[in-house]
Amino acid sequence: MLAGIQWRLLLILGLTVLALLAASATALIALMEIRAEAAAVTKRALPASGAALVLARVGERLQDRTPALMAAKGADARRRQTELLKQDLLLLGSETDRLRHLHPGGGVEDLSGLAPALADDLRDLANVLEARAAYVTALEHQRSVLMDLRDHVQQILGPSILAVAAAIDRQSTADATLFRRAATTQGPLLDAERLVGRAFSELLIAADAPTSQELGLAHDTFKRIRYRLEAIIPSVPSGLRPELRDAIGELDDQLTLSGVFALRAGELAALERADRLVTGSRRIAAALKAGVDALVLSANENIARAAAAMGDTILTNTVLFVAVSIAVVLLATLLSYRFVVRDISLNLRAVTRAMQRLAAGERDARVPAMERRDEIGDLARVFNVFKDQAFEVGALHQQLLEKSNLLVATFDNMNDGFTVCDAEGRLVAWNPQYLDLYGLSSDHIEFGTPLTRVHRMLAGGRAKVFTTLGQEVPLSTLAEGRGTLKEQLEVHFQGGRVVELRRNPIPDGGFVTIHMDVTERRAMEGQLRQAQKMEAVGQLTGGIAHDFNNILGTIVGNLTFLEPAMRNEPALRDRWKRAMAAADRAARQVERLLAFSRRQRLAPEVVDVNSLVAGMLDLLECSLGEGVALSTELAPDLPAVRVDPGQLENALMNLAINARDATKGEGRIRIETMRHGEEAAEIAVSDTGCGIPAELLDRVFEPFFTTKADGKGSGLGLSMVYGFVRQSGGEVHVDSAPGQGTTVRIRLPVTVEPAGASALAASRDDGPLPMPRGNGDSVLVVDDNQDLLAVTADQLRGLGYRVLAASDGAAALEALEREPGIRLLYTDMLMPPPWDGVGLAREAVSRRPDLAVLFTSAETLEPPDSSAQLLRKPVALDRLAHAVRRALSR
Amino acid sequence: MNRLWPVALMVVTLALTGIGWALGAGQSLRILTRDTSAVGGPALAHGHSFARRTGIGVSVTQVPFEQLYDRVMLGFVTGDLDFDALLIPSAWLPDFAPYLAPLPKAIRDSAAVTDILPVYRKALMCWQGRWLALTIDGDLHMGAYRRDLFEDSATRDAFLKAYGRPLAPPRTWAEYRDIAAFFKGRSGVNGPALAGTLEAYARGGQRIWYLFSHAAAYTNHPDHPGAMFFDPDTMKPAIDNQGWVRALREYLELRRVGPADVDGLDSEAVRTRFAAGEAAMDIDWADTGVLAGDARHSRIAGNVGFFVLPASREVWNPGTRIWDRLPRPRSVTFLAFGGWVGVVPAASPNVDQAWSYLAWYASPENSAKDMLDGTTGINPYRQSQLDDPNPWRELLGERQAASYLGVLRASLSARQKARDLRLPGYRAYIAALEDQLDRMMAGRVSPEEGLRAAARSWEALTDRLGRNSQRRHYRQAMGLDSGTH
Repeated sequence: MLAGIQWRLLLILGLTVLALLAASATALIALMEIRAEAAAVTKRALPASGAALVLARVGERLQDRTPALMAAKGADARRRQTELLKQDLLLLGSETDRLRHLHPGGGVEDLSGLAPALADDLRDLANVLEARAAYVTALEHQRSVLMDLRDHVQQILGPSILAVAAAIDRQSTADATLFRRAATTQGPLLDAERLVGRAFSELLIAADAPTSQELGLAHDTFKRIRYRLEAIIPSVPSGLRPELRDAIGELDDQLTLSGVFALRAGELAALERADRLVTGSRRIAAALKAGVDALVLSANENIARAAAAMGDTILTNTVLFVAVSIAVVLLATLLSYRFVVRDISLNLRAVTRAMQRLAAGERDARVPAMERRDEIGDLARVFNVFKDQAFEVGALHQQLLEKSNLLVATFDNMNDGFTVCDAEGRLVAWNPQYLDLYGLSSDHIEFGTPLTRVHRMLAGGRAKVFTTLGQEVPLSTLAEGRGTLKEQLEVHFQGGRVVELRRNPIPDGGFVTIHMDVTERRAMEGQLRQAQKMEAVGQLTGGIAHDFNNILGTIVGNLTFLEPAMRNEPALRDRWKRAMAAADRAARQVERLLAFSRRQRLAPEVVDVNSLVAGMLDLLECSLGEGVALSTELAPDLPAVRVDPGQLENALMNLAINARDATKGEGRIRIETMRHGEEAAEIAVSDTGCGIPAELLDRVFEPFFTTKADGKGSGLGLSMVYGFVRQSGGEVHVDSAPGQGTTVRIRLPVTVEPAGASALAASRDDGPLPMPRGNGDSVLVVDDNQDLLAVTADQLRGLGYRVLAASDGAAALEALEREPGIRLLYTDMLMPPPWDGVGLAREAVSRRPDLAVLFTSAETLEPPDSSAQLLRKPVALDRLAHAVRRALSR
Repeated sequence: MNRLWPVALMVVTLALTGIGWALGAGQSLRILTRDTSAVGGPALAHGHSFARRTGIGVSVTQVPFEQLYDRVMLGFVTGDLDFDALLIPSAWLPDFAPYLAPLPKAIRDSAAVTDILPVYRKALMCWQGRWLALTIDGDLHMGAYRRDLFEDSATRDAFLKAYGRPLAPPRTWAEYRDIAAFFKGRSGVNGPALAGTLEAYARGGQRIWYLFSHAAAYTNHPDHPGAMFFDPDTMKPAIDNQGWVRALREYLELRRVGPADVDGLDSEAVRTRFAAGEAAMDIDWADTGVLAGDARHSRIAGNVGFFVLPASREVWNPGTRIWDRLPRPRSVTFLAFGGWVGVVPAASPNVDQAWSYLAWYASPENSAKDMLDGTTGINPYRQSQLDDPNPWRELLGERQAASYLGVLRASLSARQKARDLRLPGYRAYIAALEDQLDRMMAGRVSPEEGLRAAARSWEALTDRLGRNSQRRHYRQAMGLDSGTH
């Protein structure tokens, strides 16, 4: 039945309560007894004691009342003291009666006679003091009257006394008689002043006389002074006499009943009687106090006896109650230990041991008492379930840890930066690459650092943020409202570094961002764009140059044709020369355009760049002018390159001229050569000029782009250099900044061929030769440009050849079939299908193997083979003459 | 009011004829007063006219001012004062009061007396509720300056350059000292070297009121009325406080800008030498205006302007014993000397005739003439004399008269007017201060020490004469309590 621990405890508690109830009942009975005894004491002993105490206090107060009454100042204070006295006497009577009733035979009767006697005495004393006070008031009044009177007499006598004294002191009076008489009046005036002073002194002494004898003496003295004053009045100045007599007359009032003497005598008598009464009342008060003290003592003894009896009762009952209570508590403790505590303790210890084993990793730890049906059994079963779950949780934790480690290792080892922010824009995770990318130290960042703070640090490093469309985003607002958007941004650092951010929101707030360093990629993309642009411009330029060359060919051909007619027409010949010169300049421009579009015909050979530069120095110094200091630094181990030396000289000259213009003719220009790696030789032309703004650097190679003033430059110099170098397999770079000067670097691929191995000798060194003429040989001219075809045919006929003209390949083959005397095929290389120049030549030669072939073209094309000859349009007459002759003579 | 004067004169004449003459044939009224033309001059002139009107002869005895008090007081004390009427400073009345006959009610109630300005009527004529004197003169201190010098452009330029402000009549004691220092030694317009200002420094030459005038602005605190000479509650002397020390220092320092014989100047010399054109300014009773403005007596007539006693922004607070700063500079009128009165000794056998003579002396008709004569020492003391500007214009010209009357009216209507000392022993109090002033001027003691010594003497005098009574008199004199008890 009592299987549960709870039930066992309830039973023990019940028994304990029952035992305590029994003990309490015993204590209650004891308290009833104590109460009965206390009631007995309260009824009789306490009131008696109270009354005795009141009497003692009244007795003490009565003793003090007499001096207080004597000391009271003023009628009100005395009345108050008398009233208090009456109250004390009434209290004395009533408390004496009560004590007599409560404590018969305690000597109370002895007090009955003393109280009325004391009351009578004190009443008399109060009356006497009242009378004395009246005297004091009257005396004060008389004093005040006397003071005023004395002031008045001083006012009467004073000015005259002062005037006489001053006159005597100064002796300033003119009238000697008057002066003598004035001196005689000084005596009576001073006597009067002195006597009045003495009279007032005596009166004031009398007002304070301590005894009646001294009062009598003062009275006699005053009377004598009064008579002397009377006697002196006739001697004072007549003008002062009436007032002085009146004032002295007022002194007589002091001798009457209302005067100082009578009043002080009355006061002294009252004081004497008061003394007697005080002595009597003190005696009675002392007797009264002694009686009261005896009463109080007796009452206190009674109370002490009652209190002792009551104390015994309380002690006995208290001991009994305490003993029973201790026994009950001990019994309850024993029972609790035997039936509850010991059992619980044993089982809990077993559970604890099982838990310790579990904590040590013992999976098969068993808990005892699982079969019990009480709370211990419940605990054991719950523990068992807990143990199983703990092992499952442990396994899960292990798996998670492994995954987490994998993830961390991934993040830490990826190339890009990686961050995770919470919904409030605070950093919660990041990898070391992130810190490296932004130049942050781990001291700057901690868990929960707001992104805004990171952005402030970046702003300090002058970083700028752009969208993928190139729109700048303020760094300060980067963290605002961007957590919910998927977006891609670029951070551009001052040094040119670019970091791309790809940000993805996390479903439950916050976002993940990948930070990639795309500096190199962006640079390469830029270079690619530039190269593509230059390529496109080159193709465009080349096309235009081709067309333009054809047009120029026509113009030059016609002009050449006209030349003989001009010989005898000087006026027309000048015009003809200017037209020819313009056509020449146009041809050179086209030449440069072709150079840029890498379609110029080069005559490459192995060149020692240092020698070439050294050989140019004289020419350069002449061209640059005196204001420019030219210097060189040539690397001794510079390898040879394979380029067209004429074009390289041309390029260096162009660069030097540009440099001179940039320094405005006043500055320094430096030409350096150096090895650039194993593969290239570099020629750098530097100036101390104005430099080029960064935004224009990409455009400097574009044809017709110039920063020079209108008419100063053609805008083709650098384009030509670019085209030449690129065509020669090299690179050109420009380093420049405004105010810092400009350096143009030409890098050319190194060649392994020995110098002088070039197949093509430079033809520009050929001196002018006499124009060879034909001897009637038949030449077939083929060109799809009808105008040019006509001009060329006319030129060749002018040179003495028989000319057949064909505007396409088919017509040409037909002419070949028709005219077996044709010795030379002169054909444009680029013609509409099916026959281009090369194909036509190949077909013609297959039919007529002895046929000589000469190509022409407005494009920069290589001849189909090394033995073939190619004339670039426009073709000057002399070149045509030599080339045709050379071809025919092979 | 002017129309009432003949009526008042008739009342006096009727009173004379109604009284049987006690004087025997060949006897005449005996009058005692000072020996100068001031006050003494009119005494003679009006004696003659009185004799002509009534047949009663008048003989006038004149003694030096510094002997006058002794002569009267010793006469009273010895019973040997053979005079029927005395012309004395009003401040001596308390000392002489026991020996004097009361003023007849007919005269007291006459229009000639009720026309007298309140500050000169009951305050001077009454003592302890008894009417004992008849006012014949009203006194206050004022300043006068040389308008020709002050308006001279070269002088004005020089002053502006030296002091950075335009030259104008002084409004404060500081300005007064600056201007005096500026003019000291300068020659007047075509004249000899000037004194900066003139004030009296001679003992017996009424110098003590000049000191009082300097002290008035410094020692009359608006919150402590009547505390100039004594604490009106305790009768402790106030003359040794910092206000008095400052006033005394400034008064003594001004000797440097006076003439070479500055220590010998009395009040009469001040006004006559100013009229002679010897100084740029002076401070004096109103006599100076009439004298200097009147071409018969003055070399500078027509060129005189006037100013009220200079003001001060600082005032000594006797309660807190510190200097208080007022919102603006304040001038305090000082009723210096009060004025002259006529009294009749009770012992005279010709009391009624003597009063008749005094009433004639002070009649509106005579006083109107006297006040226009700078030598008579009589200054205006009636309201009607200030109300009618015409006589002044005739005497002084429009401009001088306007300035003179303006200053008189402004002084008498000032919010704060300091009254002169008036109590028994007056002469002794003044003598004690004069004694110390001698020592201070001689440099034997500092102003602080001299004033402390004078204060000790005053304290002893107050004790000897009865402190309560003296306190009562002082409070009445200062206008703090009514004077009838």
